[in-house]
Amino acid sequence: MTRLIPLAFLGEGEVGRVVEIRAGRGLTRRLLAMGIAPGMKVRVLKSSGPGPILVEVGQTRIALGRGVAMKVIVGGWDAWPM
Amino acid sequence: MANVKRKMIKVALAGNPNVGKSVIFNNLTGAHQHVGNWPGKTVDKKEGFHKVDDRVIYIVDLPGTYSLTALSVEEMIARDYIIYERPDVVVDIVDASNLERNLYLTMQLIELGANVVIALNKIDLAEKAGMKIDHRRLEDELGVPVIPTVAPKKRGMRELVDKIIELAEGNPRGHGGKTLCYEPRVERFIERLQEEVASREKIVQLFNPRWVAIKLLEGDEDVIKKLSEIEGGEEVIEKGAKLREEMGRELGDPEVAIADARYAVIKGIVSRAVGELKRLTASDLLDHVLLDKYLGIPIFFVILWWWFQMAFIGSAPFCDILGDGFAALGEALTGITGHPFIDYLFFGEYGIIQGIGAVLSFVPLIMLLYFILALLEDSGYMARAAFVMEKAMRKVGLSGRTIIPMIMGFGCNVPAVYATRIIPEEADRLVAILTNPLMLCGARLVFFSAIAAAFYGAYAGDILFSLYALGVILAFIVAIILRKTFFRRRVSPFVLELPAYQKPSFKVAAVRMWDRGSMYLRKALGIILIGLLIIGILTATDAETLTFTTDPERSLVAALGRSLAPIFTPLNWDWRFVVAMIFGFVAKEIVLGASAMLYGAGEEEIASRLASLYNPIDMYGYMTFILIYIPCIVTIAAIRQETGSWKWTAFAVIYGLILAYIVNLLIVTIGHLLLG
Amino acid sequence: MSRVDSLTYILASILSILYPIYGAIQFYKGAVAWWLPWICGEEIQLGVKVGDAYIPNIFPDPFSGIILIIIGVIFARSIYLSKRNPGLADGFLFVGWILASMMLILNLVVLAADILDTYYPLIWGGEIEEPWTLGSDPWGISPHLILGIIATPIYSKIKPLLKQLIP
Repeated sequence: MTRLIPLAFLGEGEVGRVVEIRAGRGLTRRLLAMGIAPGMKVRVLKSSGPGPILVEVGQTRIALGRGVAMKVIVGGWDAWPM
Repeated sequence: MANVKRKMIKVALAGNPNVGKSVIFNNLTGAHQHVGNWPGKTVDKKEGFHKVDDRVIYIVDLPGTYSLTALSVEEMIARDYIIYERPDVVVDIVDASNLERNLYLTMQLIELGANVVIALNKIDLAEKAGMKIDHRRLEDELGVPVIPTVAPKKRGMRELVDKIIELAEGNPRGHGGKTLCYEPRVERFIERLQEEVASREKIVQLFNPRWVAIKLLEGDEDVIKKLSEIEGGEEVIEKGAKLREEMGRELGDPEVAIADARYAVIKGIVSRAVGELKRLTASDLLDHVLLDKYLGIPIFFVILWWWFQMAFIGSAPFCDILGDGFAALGEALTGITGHPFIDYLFFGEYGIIQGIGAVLSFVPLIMLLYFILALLEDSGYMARAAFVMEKAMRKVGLSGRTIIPMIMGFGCNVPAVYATRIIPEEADRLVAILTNPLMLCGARLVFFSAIAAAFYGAYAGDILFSLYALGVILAFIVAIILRKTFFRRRVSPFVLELPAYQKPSFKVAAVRMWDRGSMYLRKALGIILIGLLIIGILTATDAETLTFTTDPERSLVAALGRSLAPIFTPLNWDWRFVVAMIFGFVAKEIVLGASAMLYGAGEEEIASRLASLYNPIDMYGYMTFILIYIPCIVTIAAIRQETGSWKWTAFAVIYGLILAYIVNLLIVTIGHLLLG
Repeated sequence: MSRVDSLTYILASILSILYPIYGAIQFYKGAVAWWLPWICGEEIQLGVKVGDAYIPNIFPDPFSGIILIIIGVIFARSIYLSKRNPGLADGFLFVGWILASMMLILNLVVLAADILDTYYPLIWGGEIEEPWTLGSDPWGISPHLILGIIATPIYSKIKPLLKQLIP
């Protein structure tokens, strides 16, 4: 049973798989369309201190505010085979 | 046959933002294009033609979108166009280096029932990233034709056009690719609802049943609205709602379940059609440094400083050449018409030619500012700048993306106001628009640099910098206040894609530069010309006898100035300051020329003349007033257009006046208190 | 370590010392000249006198000084990382080289612009007020140019990175 945590808590370099998005419809749709969707592997590129975090989904780099990253729930953040 | 009627093929271009859609549009339409507005919306509509043999391909560039929900104006425009205008072919431009994200839109286009051709663009970038994409396999998997393209090099354009024609003439409208089935648990719901929809004739005539079913399960408000107006629609909506609820109980939020299913399909397709994926290290490394916690912002300031130095110092000789040129022109043409009034107006020392010259002499600066900015944008750096500044900007209630319009404002506020379109959240955008005029633009620099040199000698650079800084600080203060009062909504979520780094193209930069810089040029040649004419006439007309006079003291403007002067006595203003300020309504560049005229001095000497007459503190106060008070007419027009509301435009004008008066008063009072 | 590597790290070490030094001097001179003229605004220079000009010429400008210091810090960071994480160190070298080159180009543009500004009246047979000399130029050949030239050989080390971005 994997622990589920918000994306905002992942450390730099860690990889997680998106399990759920807990946000309003507008934000959810934006995230889904940009590639942050349940099942997608997300790698955290930059996450130091307060301020937006930088993640990689597929070949795309996306910057997310902390608040937004708190609404993306990920799990299984061991290495995920691709 | 004398008159062969050309066959017309209607094509729409769709795709994510930043995929090279505009480049392909330009490749296909060349000079035969036209930019307008989508009716009733503030989104650009680009349309054009491409002629091949006896056919005309009419192309519409739909707004770039990541999906086709009912949420944003752009997405609604795109999908309504496809549903109601029924283009023969929809070209979906897909960024090969971002395949999964782009295919999300592709699937929705296919579900919509459009006749899709995929232009697989940026395959060079994908190869650079170590991806080998088998486009024939992709064609098989998706069931729609895939044409590899490299838009900037125009590779694949011929094949694309051929395929468009082939599809348009062979394949009647409404046939998407093969049906891409989702996983069984989701597919079950879709099929049940689809059956229901398919049985209603009136609906099937307009929409693709499968698309309607999926949209209803997603809870799409716009589809529900559209259906309610069709015969048989209400029942379908009801059935849809029931199934949606059932789906919710079984699978959780239906919208997420469907998106999940979509991505599963996409992942499968990509895994079968794409080869080895490798890491792109250079880009990672650059980001690691440019977005560094400690060095990120300092590096941004390095680049900002460099940009300003290059633009100001690099353009200086050209500005001087233009200035001298116009002065010489004015002199050479003096007396040419022989009619004293016209002569004075046009070629006199403070005539129109001189005025236009003063304005145009700043054009090289504006152009260079924008050219370099465009290079920085094209390279991909500016998105990093927005990222790095986001945290700091949030503290004053602005989004990180506001950086770009703010910087542009230092050249000219007009294109800067238009540039606020890149800010997605309305509240953020409005605040950015309302505070932009506080950015010290090139026009005000005309006046300030002349005054600073004469009044403050060695401290001139200092004074100028303080004015720039004052503008920025006031912008932050106003933003904070606006956030606390009118825009007390919660902070908008920050989601920003960082595009891949690339070598900036000089051609693209030149086009962008011209796009933005030409607004300044048009302003100069339009408004300012008229403004100068009116001012000239008013100044050369005696207030009492209404005849020509070369003595400004007796003119109509003097009368106006004197009548308003009492309001400004606490600020230690002369009536001439009032008049010059009023002329600044038209364009801020005119303030200098107007002052020159009113004091009877040439533009060269006016600054030193003022220095001998007035106190440096009072002058500084006056300069801050000119810095802050209302935006010039062209900027006001831009604000009106971009905010779409007279209320906010009026607000911008009024708060500017009030703030300017207060700041001027403070400076004059405190200044004299401290320095006597 | 290969020859390219050792050369690069020697250069980077030199630059991580020179940039901050010139930057600090420039900041001091600038602060004194612009804001605190009562402090002895000594004509501090750290270079070779050629004719009536110094090479490099440290012109007083506090902001330029800060900029030079920042670039110095970037090179210092790359040296610091060179032992623990050479991959990341390359990143800082890359950015350092880019910024150093940008400053080099800036200095050249400034010189060209100043020369043009002095001599353009000749185009229509006008007169020049004063001929241009390196010594009279507000910038002259400043640290931006000299240090930028010193940084140029680093190109061979970061060339593969550049090729990755621009094929």
